Amino acid sequence: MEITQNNFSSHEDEEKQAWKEIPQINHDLIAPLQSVNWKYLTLVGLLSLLVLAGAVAWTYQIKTGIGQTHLHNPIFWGIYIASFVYWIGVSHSGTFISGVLRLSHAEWRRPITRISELMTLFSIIVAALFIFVHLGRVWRFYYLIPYPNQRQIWPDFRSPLMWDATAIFTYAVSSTIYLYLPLIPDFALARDRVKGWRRPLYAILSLGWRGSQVEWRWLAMAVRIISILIVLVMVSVHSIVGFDFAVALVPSWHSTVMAPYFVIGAVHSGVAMVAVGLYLIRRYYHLENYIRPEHFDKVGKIMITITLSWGYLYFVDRLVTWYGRIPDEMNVIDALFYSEYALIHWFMVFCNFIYPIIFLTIPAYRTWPLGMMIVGLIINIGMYIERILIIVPGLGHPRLHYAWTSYFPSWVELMILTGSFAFFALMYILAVKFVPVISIWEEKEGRIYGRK
Amino acid sequence: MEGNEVESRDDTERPEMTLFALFPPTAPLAPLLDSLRTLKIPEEAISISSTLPLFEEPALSQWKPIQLYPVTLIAGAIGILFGFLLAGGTFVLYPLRTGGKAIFTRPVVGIISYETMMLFAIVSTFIAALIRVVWSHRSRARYDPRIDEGLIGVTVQVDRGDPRSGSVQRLFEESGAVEVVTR
Repeated sequence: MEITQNNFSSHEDEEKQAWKEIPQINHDLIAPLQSVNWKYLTLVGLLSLLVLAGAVAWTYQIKTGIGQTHLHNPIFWGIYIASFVYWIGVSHSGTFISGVLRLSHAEWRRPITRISELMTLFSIIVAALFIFVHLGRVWRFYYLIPYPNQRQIWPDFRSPLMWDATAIFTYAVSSTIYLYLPLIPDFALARDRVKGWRRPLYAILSLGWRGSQVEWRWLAMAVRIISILIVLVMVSVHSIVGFDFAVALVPSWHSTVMAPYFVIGAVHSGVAMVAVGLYLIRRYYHLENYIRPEHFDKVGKIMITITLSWGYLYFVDRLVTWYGRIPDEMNVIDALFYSEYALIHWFMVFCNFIYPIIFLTIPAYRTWPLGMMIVGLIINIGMYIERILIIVPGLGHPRLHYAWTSYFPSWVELMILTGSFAFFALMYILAVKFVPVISIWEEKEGRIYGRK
Repeated sequence: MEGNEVESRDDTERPEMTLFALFPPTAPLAPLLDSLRTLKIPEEAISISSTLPLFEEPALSQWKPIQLYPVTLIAGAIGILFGFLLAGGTFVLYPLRTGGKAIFTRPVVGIISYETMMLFAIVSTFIAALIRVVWSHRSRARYDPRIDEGLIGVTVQVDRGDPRSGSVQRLFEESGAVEVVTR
């Protein structure tokens, strides 16, 4: 009884202490919005130049035609579609980390959710951009939208690309909502602390938030419902991206495992990207008190599970194909395992499976932030290569052998690709100056009630 | 603070009177709320503002539950219907016989309907929640930037001339309010 009483007092003291930390938390987490130094401006300038270079390359492609790419029959999809698939994959970071962890009431999610939700939004934007980059006549993009136009053309819903368009539109809208909802209280906090042009914008975005319990209850209810729904959307979106391939009769694509394999692959790259983001945000905004080694450890444990799942699905897919020895399928397997794509294929396996499994299973490694960023980068390199290897070898080895061919992107494609990565990074670092990168109210809630 | 001045000018013309108090975060809310109930102040006239949700507070657990699921479910059902009409209607209006596939492809209708169901459900839930956040009890809750520093704001609204206003003010002071404002 005495021990219980002591525990109770100790808990009360802790809670009192936590309440005292609130002004400091406000200060620390609003600080990244207010400081701009020459390093930041240099980075913005550099990234803007790269984005500009990508935009110039795209303009050149629009002006002179899609022939500026090295896409040719039968390789009609190249790095544009690989990038689209990759960025959709990265977008799973927010929904998986944030949605799943919110639903499971994982306390350690608090400093991570916003960082990953921002990644989701920006990676969807970049992914959507690649749909337009891939279009030969981009000015006719509205033919993709179902509305009765002058030629009575109506999109054919039997095409998986239309499933894609529907799913990605749903996902983009949902992710924006999912990012915005928990931001309302933080915008209200920023409204009263940030001066200049952002202040009226925060006032509008915070919707006059006053922090009444009624407001909190509606917000919590909406976040809870949307968390459930967005996880379901997340699974469907990348399944549908997987269907783009799986419903085609191209060798190595037509596989029942493709949809779950795509979902796991997406989560693999998404969570790995979160590890990269966590390190960079922590390092450059000195948020060591908020993003602690234990957070990297938890993310690392999730990454082990995902790595094993990815490896399992990859093995199953390849094993069944190899065992069946259907000649058309085996041509692709041979090209991947032993022939022209062998080096890059085994490097991809190293990045996606071997390196993460070796290092992430070492507990000390998982609590090393830089190490976690490195493994995140390596997985993302591996996952990008994997997207290329899904598309190109299959298309390059059609059933008629005379049409076998290879592909290497042109300078226009590579420039647009570079610009897209810079665009993602630029949007992110600009957003850091507008959006608190750690959910302030959730962090406070965790400090006060998280121990209960 | 400018906003508060504007608010105070408007407030003098209102038939209601607002009593607002700021409490230290560790001040017990339960006895205060019990006393307000004893004074027969309705639940709707009391608003508690804080920098984080106080769902863990036992004093607030008796409040009426809120419902948003019906909106989600109804919107989801409308979304299914929309998807069915969009994809299924396309097959009926534009019958393209391609690759020996069925004119009316049920799995495709299912996929499109699933996505539109989710879209409608999420957007409607969001809009409904925003409307409730913006309008629910908005006029009653007072705002003070110190709430974000950890203080708890309690607003009670009574009619001007209501004799209970003095009792509420006294109750606030006795409960440890660091500041009480009457408007």
